[in-house]
Amino acid sequence: MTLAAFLLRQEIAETYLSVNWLESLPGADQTSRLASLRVEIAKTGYGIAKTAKYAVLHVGTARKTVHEQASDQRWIRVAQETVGFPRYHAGIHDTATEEMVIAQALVDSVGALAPA
Amino acid sequence: MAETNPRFATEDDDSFFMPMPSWRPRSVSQKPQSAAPHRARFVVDLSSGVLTMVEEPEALELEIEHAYPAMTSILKAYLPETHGAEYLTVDDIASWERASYEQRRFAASQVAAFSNTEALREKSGPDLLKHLSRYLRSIFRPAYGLALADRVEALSRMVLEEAGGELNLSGESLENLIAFLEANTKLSRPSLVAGPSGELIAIWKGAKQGEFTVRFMPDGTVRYLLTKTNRKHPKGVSRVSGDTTPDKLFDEARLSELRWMVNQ
Repeated sequence: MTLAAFLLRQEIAETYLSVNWLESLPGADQTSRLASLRVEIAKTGYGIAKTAKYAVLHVGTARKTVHEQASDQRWIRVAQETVGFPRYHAGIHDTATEEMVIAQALVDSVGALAPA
Repeated sequence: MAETNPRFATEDDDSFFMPMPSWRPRSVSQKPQSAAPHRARFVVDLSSGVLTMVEEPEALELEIEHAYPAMTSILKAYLPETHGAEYLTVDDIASWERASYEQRRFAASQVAAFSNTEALREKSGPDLLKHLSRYLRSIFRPAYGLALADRVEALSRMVLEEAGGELNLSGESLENLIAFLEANTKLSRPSLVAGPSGELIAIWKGAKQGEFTVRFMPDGTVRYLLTKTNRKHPKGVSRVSGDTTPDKLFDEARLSELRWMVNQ
């Protein structure tokens, strides 16, 4: 996995990284919640490459890693973003400044990869 | 068409051709079928720098587009060597192209690399990505051009598929990547991934020494991140990041100090 996965889209002036909040999905454990996510994504009709994977991050670990690696030691915000989006949609904020460093820190904090 | 005397370009000419008799139409990819030499006829548009090779007026026109801003001087430098020669084959042209390209590279290092891709961009229009891929396969100076072209095309297909056809790799991003790699031919081949806006991201990894990642933005700038081991603290890591332009990247990121990025 490379930092490309955690870069903002410039052409649409993205202000946060779109992520999926696993705890808001049905399931008793991470595996079953990922299965629920796949069902939900399939309903949207989004194109998913056959080789695509989900990166699973623990919010606390991601925030701590960014805090340690960012030159300003910032604490990034992870918040639900449901206006116009499903209930499981969330966003990682405050990544634009020093974006390459922050993106690499998020890569370093990835706990696991799961098939999409 | 029977012309016995080649006409050489002058400053006032807007075209140049050197027709040769006894041309046998064939595919460029095929080797000559007999010992008889196959001559090449080519036309250059001096205003645009486009070189076109044609077999015979009635035959299929094979177009080799190489946009060289200094095409005039290249031809004038080359022609006296062939004047009086019995034939000029396709292989001759290919070797001449590489020799003349290298001559220009030594005359003006980084500028020449960038001027090549700039000229190609002006020529290509919306087909820039396609033309740059061909450039990688034919003219690109480092030896890994074919592998790089394969990867670029694979990334393009992936981006198109994921975006439902609404986004492709940025030709401008690829142009800047190519120019950077040609200006710094000692660098080893990078891994390539696509960014969220279709930009190309080049990654060099040292086994334990570090990692250098460059994002070639479509607007002509680059954003980079260098991660390397901290010699004074074995468990520590040093990070250097910045924004600059491709022609300044090598010096600003001090890549000359990173032996693991260089071809051994």
